[in-house]
Amino acid sequence: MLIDGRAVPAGTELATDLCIVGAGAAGITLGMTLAGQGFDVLLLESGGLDPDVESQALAGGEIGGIGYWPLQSARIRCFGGSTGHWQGWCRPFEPMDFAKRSWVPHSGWPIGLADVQPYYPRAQEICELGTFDYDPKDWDLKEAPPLPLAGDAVRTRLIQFSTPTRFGVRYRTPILAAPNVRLCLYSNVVRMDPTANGSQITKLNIATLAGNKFSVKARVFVLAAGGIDNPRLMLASNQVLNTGIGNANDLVGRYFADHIQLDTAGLFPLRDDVSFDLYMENRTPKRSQLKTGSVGAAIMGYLTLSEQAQRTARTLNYSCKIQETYLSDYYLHSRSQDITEASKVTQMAEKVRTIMNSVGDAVSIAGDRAVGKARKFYKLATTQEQAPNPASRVMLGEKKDALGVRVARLEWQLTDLDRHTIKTAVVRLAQAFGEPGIARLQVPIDLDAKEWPSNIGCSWHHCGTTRMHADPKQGVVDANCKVHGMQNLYVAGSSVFTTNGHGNPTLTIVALSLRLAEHLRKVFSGAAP
Amino acid sequence: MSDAEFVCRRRRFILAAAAAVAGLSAVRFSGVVTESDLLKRVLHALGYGDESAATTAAIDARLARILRTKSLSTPARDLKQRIRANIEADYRAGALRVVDGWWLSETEADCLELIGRS
Repeated sequence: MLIDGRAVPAGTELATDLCIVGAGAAGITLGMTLAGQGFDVLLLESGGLDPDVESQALAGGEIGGIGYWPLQSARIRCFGGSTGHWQGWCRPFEPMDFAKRSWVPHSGWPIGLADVQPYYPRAQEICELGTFDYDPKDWDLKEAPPLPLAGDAVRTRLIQFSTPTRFGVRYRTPILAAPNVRLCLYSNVVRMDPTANGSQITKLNIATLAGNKFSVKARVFVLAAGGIDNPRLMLASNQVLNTGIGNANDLVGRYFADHIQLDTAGLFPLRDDVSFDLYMENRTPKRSQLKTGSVGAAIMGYLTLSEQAQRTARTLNYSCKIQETYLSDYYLHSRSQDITEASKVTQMAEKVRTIMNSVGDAVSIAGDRAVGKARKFYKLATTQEQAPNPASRVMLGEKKDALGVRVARLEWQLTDLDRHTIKTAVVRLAQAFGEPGIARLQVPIDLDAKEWPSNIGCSWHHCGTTRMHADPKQGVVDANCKVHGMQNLYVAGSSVFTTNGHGNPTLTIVALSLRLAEHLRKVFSGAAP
Repeated sequence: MSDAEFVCRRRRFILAAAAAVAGLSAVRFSGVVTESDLLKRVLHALGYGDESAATTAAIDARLARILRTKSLSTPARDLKQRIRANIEADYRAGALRVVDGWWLSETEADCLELIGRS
């Protein structure tokens, strides 16, 4: 059933058993999985079925720290949420991602891979992928084999590509057809009201851009509004508890983590008998096959540090893609910013000379390409785990949005452990490619510099801001995603990630949402508190 | 051929072999040095009789390091194999050095620095 929140009479109080705030990958997975159960579900969505400028403007915010993309472009406010601009890359977490690592402060989930693993196969189906198998050994890769790298520090893993599944389009019908699910569009939660002792949420206050206001009462609430808006809503609901909801230990919004993106090294191949095709997007067959004959998928290889390598060098989890590129793009992209930072004429002259040499090389290569003898050139694009860092956080900004709610302010901060991981990975990659003479690495950035390179980027993967931990002093939600100290408030999505692993979060968001749905079924059946 | 001339040719040969084995042609893309530049610089660095004794000794020491031997008399047929093995051993052991952004084996870096110093 579909409700347009703009048409709900002012002052109405909608009642339901379960209210889910946010209809993205997490919220829709919850809604679909709980369809047909013996309790009512109300799914609130800030936007409409399709994106619109006014709703999207509510996602705006302030940026501090080392910088970030504008927040209004970092996620989408409509049915389907950020799956609307998702690229479809899927890879599961690994055992080490859940573990407490002595060299990674604040690491360690209260659950392990064994707790999530049972939900990955169904998550694969929801994301329209192949069989849950990411081990290159199990795939038929005769046409595009893994690189024969030296040693065991660097290994090849696989990504499976979703089409990508646009949850708002693909799952619109099942949500609207579910007899116990109501989807309420254009409905923005502006405040959660707790009881006086702060142990329960009594109602949600809703406002629309049309001007009407109403409320929602429920037995159980789930925040599924993403890693920026989940903490924002908890912090902004500070009328009864001045620190906000679930924030007695000042943890809500802290530990914001994204996956660092950085063009880390040029890769110059030396051997004609080694193919990089497995690692090229769209270079493998449209649907690769498993040796077992199970359901195949579009796949791509990428490189990671083995668990042993991480343990030995005390790094975070690391991955990098190999991307074919133009030499001129690589140098001008990675070095152009340096020019503006050069303070001395001599430095400037040196950098200009280097770039001109590079441009000369590019012209030379272009000439080679024209006569069919071009050398291929690649870059290593890092995507790595971010160290849990309480100083990296989402707070309330000074400005207010069109509905009078203070906007989010993001202070993205990195640590020396993040830098150590990149540098260690470059050494291991140089060794793995160098020993068998496959390629040499050229690193255009100073890995020892105090400042982060100007071309560092993020992935729009907002994690950690309501992190999971058994100890209320170290995490916002418990192992069941219930907010510590609250009886009826849960959180879904990547904001519950204690650590964010090395790669794309959507598959794990869906798997954890399936796990939460199972828990909520038990709650409503009386089998769980 | 005089002894001095023989030694110079020998050095040039070792360097050229090292450059070829080390895959230094890849480095030309960085603007560090081109293959033809490399040979010109080798010729210049190891020119006939225009070097000081100190420079010659330093170059010989570096070449000996590249070959992992105190003698420059490694048979030609073993030369490339020896250098290749040294490079692989460097990478295996993590004996890397950064030269103008290139993360190279010590052996390769020695070659580049020797050439670059000329």
